[in-house]
Amino acid sequence: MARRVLHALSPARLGRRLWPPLVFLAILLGLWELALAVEYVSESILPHPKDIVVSFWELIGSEFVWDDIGATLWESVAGFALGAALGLALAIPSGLSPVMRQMLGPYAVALQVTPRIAIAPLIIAWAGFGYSSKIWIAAIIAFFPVYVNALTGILTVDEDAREMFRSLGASRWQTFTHLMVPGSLPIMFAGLKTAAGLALVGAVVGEFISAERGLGVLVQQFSSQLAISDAFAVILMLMFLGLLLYGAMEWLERTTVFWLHDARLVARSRRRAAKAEKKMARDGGVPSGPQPTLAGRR
Amino acid sequence: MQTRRETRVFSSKALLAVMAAGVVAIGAGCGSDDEEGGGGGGSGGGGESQEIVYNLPTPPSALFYPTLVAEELGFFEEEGVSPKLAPAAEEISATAFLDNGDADVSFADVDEIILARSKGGGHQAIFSPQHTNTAGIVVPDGSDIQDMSGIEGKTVGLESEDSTRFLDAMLKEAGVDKGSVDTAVVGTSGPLIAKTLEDGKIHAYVGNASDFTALSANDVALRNITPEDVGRIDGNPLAVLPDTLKEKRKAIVGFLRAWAKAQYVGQVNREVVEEIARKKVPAEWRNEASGEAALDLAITLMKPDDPKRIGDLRPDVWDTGQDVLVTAGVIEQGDTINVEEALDDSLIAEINDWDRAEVEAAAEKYGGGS
Repeated sequence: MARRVLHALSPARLGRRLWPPLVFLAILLGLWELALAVEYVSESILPHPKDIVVSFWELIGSEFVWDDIGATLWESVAGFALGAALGLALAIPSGLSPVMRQMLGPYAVALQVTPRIAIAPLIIAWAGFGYSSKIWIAAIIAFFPVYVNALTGILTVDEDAREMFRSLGASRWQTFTHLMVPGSLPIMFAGLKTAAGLALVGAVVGEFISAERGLGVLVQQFSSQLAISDAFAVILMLMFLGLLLYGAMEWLERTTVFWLHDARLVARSRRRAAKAEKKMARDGGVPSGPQPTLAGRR
Repeated sequence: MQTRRETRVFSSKALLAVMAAGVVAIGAGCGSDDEEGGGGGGSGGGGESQEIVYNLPTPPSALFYPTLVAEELGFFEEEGVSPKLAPAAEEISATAFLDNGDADVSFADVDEIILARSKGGGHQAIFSPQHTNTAGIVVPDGSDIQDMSGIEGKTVGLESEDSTRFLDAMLKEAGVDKGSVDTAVVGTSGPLIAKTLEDGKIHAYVGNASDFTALSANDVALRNITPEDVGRIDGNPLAVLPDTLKEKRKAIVGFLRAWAKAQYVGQVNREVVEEIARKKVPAEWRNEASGEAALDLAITLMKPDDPKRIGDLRPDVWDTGQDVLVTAGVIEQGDTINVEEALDDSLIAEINDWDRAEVEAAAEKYGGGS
């Protein structure tokens, strides 16, 4: 494990991975500075990148901003979890039952095509001014990608595999847990990753409308006070929060749907093989457990 | 079948994780809604304090410094109230917070209260801390527009679509056809307002005094051309529903007495208010000039006509407010309200019944001790 981490962090490897985005960033910053230098854009609207960096570090070093980061993070994570839970809870019965699918499908689509930002003020009026309203807005925005992807995942399970399960006498529950859930996980995670970012958007929209604290409140406050580099610094923080949420889902996906990632699958197979060998040596006989294999690779 | 074994193990984990997340999330989404509070601060001494939820147009801000000062100097605690802030925004009517039971008292606009009553609501104004209109119209200092009549043929930037009725009324009063004026919703972003004014895309801006002040503090010179009578209309009077007033009278009076004491501190000891504002809302002081200007504006807006009757209600300016709405066609002449019935000044004497010297001493002590 440690060797793998060291290898991943080796300067040569890091350099190879980082130079393309760094070059792009340098070009972007160069154009930004040029636009300011020739006064194509006013400094009152677009501050110098270095001012944003300075503001960012000053804000990170201050105490008050952490309350706002915590508020936005909590609203996003709770909203995402609520939206994902509702999405999965409705997608599973819809995937298993055509009647449920017909019953819920039109409403899920109707919810998706309704501009949810427009109903955000109403949600705040109904759910109150505290965290709950922001969590519900985030949840409603995060719901659809999870619902659609989970449903698609369940409906697109390999027909041959389903037939095999049937011929082996698997029960509906066994088919569901051993075939449909693992089969739909990759698509489901694509929806979860999209939903994680959308939940953050929902939380910030809610904060724009009515909140006591949160990064959305700070952006508005700084913007109305013409503290524009501070406003950009908060937007940078929101970007990092979005990356954090996306990264968390990416990590969960790599851990859960390990068979989609060669290195993880091989490592897991090796660990199992080593375990089996140890057991064999201890018992002095043929290992009783199953042999490691790559047969499950999809 | 090794793969099946592995798959089963990890599917179960994933399911468990999703279920756990779902339980947590549903708990969070459906739970009680008081967790974000804090603007109101301490619970008061000995568990005797009564909670009161108040609605302000902003998050905690120096623009409404009395809540910050009352909390810091212990005025709320003295009065046995535990206030909780329900911050609103332009999109939600302040009176809706009362109708929905989301707030006990709400700092609304004069027109919001008049409109709510004209539609049959029982909303009443019981306290009015700002004896100056917080809304207005400004032009760049060097503009040739001197008053509302000069707006003809020009483009006016608006804070929000809601500002249209305010502009229409001012235009009608000045005898300017509203069809001759173009409007554009610019929003409240300071840099954007400054840029559109500077570029000449808008010639005037209808918005809030706090926005004008922030712009002026950042070298965008502006001139206020709001008609004098409109400028006198109270900003953000406090609205309440009669049933709530009956039920929570003691707490409401306590809350407003603490507010009045803190408002008074602003009139006699600016330094202490600034010290408290810097501590309570540090984000507003990231831009020093804006912070200073916002506090000066708040203190000016809250200068009472009679220092012994802080928050007094002035029926004449409400009549003007109603006239503005009728002129703009927002309400029909037949739907106008009886202003006297909308105002209840029976609490003002009680709210102002406290020792000025004691409050001054408390502020002095805080300023010297911190």
